[in-house]
Amino acid sequence: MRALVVDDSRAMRMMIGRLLQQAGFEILQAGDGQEALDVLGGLEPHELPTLCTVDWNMPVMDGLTFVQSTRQRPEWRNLTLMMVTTESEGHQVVRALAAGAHEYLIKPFTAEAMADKLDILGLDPSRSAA
Amino acid sequence: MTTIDDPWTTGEHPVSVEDLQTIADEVWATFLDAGDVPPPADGSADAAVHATIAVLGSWTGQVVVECSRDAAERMAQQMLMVTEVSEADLDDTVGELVNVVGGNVKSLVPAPSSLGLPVTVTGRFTGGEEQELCRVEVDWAGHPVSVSVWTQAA
Ligand SMILES: [Mg+2]
Repeated sequence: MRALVVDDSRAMRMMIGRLLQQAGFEILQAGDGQEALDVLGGLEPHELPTLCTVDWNMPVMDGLTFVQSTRQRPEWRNLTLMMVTTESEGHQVVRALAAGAHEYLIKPFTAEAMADKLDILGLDPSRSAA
Repeated sequence: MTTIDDPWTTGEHPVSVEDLQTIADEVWATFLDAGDVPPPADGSADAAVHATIAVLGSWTGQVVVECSRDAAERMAQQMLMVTEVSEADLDDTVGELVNVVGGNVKSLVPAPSSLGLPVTVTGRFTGGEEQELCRVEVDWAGHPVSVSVWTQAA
């Protein structure tokens, strides 16, 4: 399984990438929404990631716009989108879910919280095997 | 002009010291391990780094994280898993820390408001025309890190 980690902070991409690697994902990265669209657009259908983690506040294209853009592409309908952001108000969570995000994790988050989200999404092989 | 809801006249600030301490402690405890970090060397506090992020909207102000360059380098080493820290690494690390604190501070101030992008700068934060609303310290393995919230003076 592959995951695309979209965040303008390299430190955050490292941190999220490490946790997802431990859960068995191969990691792709992008520093903003546009770069993430470009990464996805350059992949063959069988190379597409299963999961995208999406930061909200990024230069060039923010995470909400990225989520909206991916939902307009039928060939990407199987992508699971998880917002991972410091935007923590309830109305922002509602906006992201309405735009097509499947899960929402607020920064700062623990390794356990990330594992719980993967579990909810049915994407944690180590847990589903237990 | 109405001043009834003005925090400077009512004394009701949207962000209390307790709120800010809770947020800051949680961010450092969650993202950074203080375990193997050596305490600050003498004179290491002389060189400072700070990062700011703006909150814009119904409430306007900014959140600031400031620490020694030594502490910032050690945080970057941990978060980026590198031994050699570049200027870009430093900017990224302190910038993301203020971003996470800033987003949580934004959730406490009147909506609607939005968060800017973080900016990291060498040296101490001087505040300009803004007034400090509250300030807390995080003790990260003996390295003092200050987290403050500033807003336009009434
Ligand atoms: Mg960001």
